Amino acid sequence: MKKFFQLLAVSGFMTLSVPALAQFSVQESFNASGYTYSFFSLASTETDQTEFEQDKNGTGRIATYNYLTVGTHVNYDLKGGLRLPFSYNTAGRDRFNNGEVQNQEIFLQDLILFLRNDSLALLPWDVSVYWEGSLYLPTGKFSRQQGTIGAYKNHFIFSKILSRSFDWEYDQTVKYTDQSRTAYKNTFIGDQGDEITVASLTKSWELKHRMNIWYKMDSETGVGLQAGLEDTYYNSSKENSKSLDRSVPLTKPTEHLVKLGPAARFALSNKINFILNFTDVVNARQNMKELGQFRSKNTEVALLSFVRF
Amino acid sequence: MKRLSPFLLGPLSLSLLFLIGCSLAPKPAEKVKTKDDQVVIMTYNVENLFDAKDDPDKKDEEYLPRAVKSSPHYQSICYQMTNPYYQKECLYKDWTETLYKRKISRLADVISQVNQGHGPDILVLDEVENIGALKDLAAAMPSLNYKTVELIEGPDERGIDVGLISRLPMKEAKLHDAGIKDFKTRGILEVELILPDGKPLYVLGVHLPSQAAPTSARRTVFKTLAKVKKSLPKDALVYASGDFNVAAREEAKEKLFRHDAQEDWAVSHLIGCKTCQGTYYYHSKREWSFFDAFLFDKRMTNGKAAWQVDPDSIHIFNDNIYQVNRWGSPARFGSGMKGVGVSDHWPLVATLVKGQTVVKNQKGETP
Repeated sequence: MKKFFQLLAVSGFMTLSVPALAQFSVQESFNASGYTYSFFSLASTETDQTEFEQDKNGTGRIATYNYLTVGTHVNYDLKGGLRLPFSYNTAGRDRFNNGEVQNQEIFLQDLILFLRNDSLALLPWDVSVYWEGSLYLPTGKFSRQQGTIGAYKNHFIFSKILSRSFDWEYDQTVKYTDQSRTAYKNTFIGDQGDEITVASLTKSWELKHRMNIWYKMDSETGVGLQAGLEDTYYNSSKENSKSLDRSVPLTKPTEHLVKLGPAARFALSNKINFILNFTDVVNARQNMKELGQFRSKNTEVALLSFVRF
Repeated sequence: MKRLSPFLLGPLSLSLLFLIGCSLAPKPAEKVKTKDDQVVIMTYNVENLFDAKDDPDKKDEEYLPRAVKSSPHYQSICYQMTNPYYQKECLYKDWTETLYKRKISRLADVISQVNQGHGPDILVLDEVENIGALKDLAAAMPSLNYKTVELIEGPDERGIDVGLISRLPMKEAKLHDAGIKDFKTRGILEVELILPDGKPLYVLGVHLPSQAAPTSARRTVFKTLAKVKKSLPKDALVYASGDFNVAAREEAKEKLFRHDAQEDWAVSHLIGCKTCQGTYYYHSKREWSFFDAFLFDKRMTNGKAAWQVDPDSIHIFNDNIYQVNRWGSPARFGSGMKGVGVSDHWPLVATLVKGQTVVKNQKGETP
């Protein structure tokens, strides 16, 4: 519980320092003319990391991914702009680096150029379609480390208002990352506390599906249920083959994550609103049977903050 | 589970959607008739009900297909607009026949749900381009048996007018000047209908100048409306309805309803609709307003007329799924490309009852 309030405090600090207006499923709304400025923050923590004893020098860290957006109308149908993303992580432990306490850090992530159409199409049964295409430029430290040339993300949201109380959304994201190399040098702290360097494979495709059902308590408050799949496909590397003749390339099986959990949305004002997710995350190949059990090692708490100037 | 398809949720969710889409609202099988002792009335600002054809006498270039207005003729008209927002709408809004039909279909869906699926007996509509659009709307609700469709073209600069459709027969209609000299605006539509008992009912349809105009403009139309009422026969049964464009903050300060209107009328949201928030919502100001209202001849509320308004019947109709957006306020039709949206106003509904029944009810007696 302490960690939850800490999460709120971190996110609250970040949002209140940049006041703005927000919407529910789509983070920004655009002025009829001129430029629109907004801010988005995703703050998350792993619940099992919060359960460590205090004598191990601190608890789980809170990781945030944030961006400032400058947007405008590109033409009558399309909006576009630039997102300036950065991460801020508090000091503490995460699931990486063998539970070692990490220092707080702030660093630039990949710059994003985006185009979007809020009303791409209206499908039968009055299903609205939202589209956003994004180009990621390799300005972040991880992208530079992995030799990323760029990434393209295609994002659709299909939505329908089912009744006065219920909304439905199906969210689909496909992201392709163009890499200059198939593997990169990855260093971390091993079980024995020693520094280990290995060849890690770079990502090629990421597919995400998420379905939400929301119950509206009032215009700004609601509770929902979310279910999703996240698949990550990796490149293979002949150069890093463990066989001497390099006939067997280094590969990594596709990662299939399954997510399920409740959510709540609420607002501070017409310029700031939040979505709080409590998500059970399991790997379909490893611990699928644990889905829905919300074991602490599988759960994540995330607070999404939407702010508009 | 050995391998999970990444597209599993897609088909599943679409199947769920299909099941939901299959639920249909019941529709009356036979043509609806007006009751002898009860008339349901409604007022509805339908937010730019424009057809997709050019009317050379109107500034309706915004509401044309983009393919049509790509010609130099329309481009030059649009570029003459000084307001950047309206210029852009004029140049690029793609108002097609498909969108027009979708708009008509959603409006018909809303109206058909009123009065337990029987629709109102009298409906005053604001923001209608022409009588053709009104006839298309009436034709989209064949079972509701609307025989009277009336709209008289007025001088409004945007080309929108006040119209009326009804199951009651019409005797006469005329358009009164709103009394504003500074700019051209909608007139006051007077329609004389015949009630089921043969008595005349005068309906005055209004659409006052928007909030872009000063309060004095709306006050002038309230005065004109009072004059029109006085010009009618002394024992005439009369009510006015429409979009009065009085914002809540303006009402708190200027008291257009409480002072100006109440001198001559009984105002719908002051005599009933006690739990109503308003018919229009300003998102930027987070403010509900009673833009839309009925003004009843006071004799229709004190038992002195043959037909009385039932104060308990006055309500906002927003049961239709197209009418409410994510934030619980009126869902505008806008570009017509959203799953919800029909008008940025919610309609107001009331029931006129023949005899003294309503007055007895107000005293707490059993009817």
